[in-house]
Amino acid sequence: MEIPIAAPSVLDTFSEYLRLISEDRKSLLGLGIISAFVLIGIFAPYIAPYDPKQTSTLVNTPPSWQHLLGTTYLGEDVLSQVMWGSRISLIIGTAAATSATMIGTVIGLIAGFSARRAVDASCMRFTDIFLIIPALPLMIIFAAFFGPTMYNIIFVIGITSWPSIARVIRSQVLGIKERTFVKAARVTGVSDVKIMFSIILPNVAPMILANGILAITTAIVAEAGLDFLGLGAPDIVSWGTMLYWAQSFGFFYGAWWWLLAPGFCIALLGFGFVLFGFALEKIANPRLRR
Amino acid sequence: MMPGSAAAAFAQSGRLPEVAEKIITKRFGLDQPVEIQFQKYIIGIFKWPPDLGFSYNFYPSPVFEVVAQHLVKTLYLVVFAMLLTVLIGVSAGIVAAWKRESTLDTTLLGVSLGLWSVPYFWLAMILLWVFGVVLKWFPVISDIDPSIFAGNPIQILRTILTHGILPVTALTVASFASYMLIMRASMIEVTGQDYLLTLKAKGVTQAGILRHMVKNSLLPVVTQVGLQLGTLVSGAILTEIVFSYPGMGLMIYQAVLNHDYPLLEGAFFVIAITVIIANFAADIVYALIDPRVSYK
Repeated sequence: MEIPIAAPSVLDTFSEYLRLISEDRKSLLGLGIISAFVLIGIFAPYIAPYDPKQTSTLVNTPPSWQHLLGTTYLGEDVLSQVMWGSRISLIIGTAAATSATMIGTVIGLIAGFSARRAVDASCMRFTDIFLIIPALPLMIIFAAFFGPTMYNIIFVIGITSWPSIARVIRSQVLGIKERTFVKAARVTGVSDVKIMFSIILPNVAPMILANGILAITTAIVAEAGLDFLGLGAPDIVSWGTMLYWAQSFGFFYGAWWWLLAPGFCIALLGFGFVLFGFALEKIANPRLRR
Repeated sequence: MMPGSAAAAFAQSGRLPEVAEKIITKRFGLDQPVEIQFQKYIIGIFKWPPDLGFSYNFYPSPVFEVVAQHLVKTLYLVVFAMLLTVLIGVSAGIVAAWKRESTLDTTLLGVSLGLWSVPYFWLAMILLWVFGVVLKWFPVISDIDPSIFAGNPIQILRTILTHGILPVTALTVASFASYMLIMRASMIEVTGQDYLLTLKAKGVTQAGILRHMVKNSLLPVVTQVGLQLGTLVSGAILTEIVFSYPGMGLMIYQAVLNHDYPLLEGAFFVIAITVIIANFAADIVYALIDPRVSYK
């Protein structure tokens, strides 16, 4: 039986997205920044001048030709740490954002699509509980409880960020649910689950993608925050852990370069995402397209 | 729930001699079933002053006292910061919307968006570094200079103010962008409305029109304030840690590290109450300023 999917073909949508992105200079700049960091992260083992944890006798030196961003109190090269750090920060950010998006989407779909008010209401109450509880204290408690490993951090950030996505998805689903082709499918007797995944999902996909990508920034900042508090894995080098060590030891030695570098990277990457977000907004919300 | 028995956590030591553990457990009623403990807790809330138990870390201070002390200090920071944030954000938004598409507009947008992506605790560290360490304009830790305790009120006031400037600045700079964006978008939306034409036809001055536009654009801002009120108390955690400012954030952080459960419970309880009150107040304000909304 043909399931009527009224969304345009995937290829058309994709080229439309490409057009939206390339026409907007801000988004291109944002995409450029993001790509730069991704590339640095991928090729870090090859382009980093030193091993990030390699200590040396050149402790606390300001930026010089030998160490472009200076060294830490243990003589490690800050530039290499920043490069390797982009790997970890991006991985954790993307993983956490992906999990949050998945959870949020599922709950949002169920809540929005369910014909029974009780299911919708209970899902939203559940979501609201997590929304109201301030995220940071919750993350701190979870992180302290589960222990400092990379996976736990991803898990912790994921379970505190899904509510806002669930909300957004739910309202989108509510809107799509009322359209004719969906009603047609239901009347024809297509099973609920099939409708949810074969029809509604493709139509909310742009929204999911846009929100997911924007969630990466929040995840990266959250990861940095947790690391900064000392709740992250101590043996990995990420921008957050760099800030942790810099806060504890950098101030004392006056190592401003150590403080500046990781935070600036987070800010720059975040800014890149914000810029790129302009085009993402247009993808997610067709009304904004000119 | 967390590793280690409660009594051991209380005594701040890994292993307690059995006798000590028994005494502590009995004294604090930790051996009673969970439901009974919960019951006692709930009853304690309704006494005055609320009996929320004793803090492990600050024993013998009761939880309520400890939380109250820290709450006041945090409130001082966040209330100031919120006021400033809204003021600056809204003004910037008005200016940007008024001069839409101009270089001023783009610059303002760029600046606020840039500042928005900055992790605010990093910003706090930079501010601390530049203004506290390098320029030595402001003190770098805590909220008051302990040696001033015996001083006169003016001195006390002054020290509270100077210690507060940097944290408040950090908080404000990091958050004003959202208000600026919302106000700007709201103003732009209002620009297309018909009643503005009517005003112009009536001969109202530019300033008068601007006033009307602003008043009508404020609604989304109020919504945003309402949304953020709930996170006020916890929002300052990272900033407080950077500045070693003894407020709720630092207290919670230390409580987590020290396994100080009663204090944590008390803190979350207070946060929950704050969120509820804040949201309630926001609803009321909403009803007051928007003549279309009524709660009959």
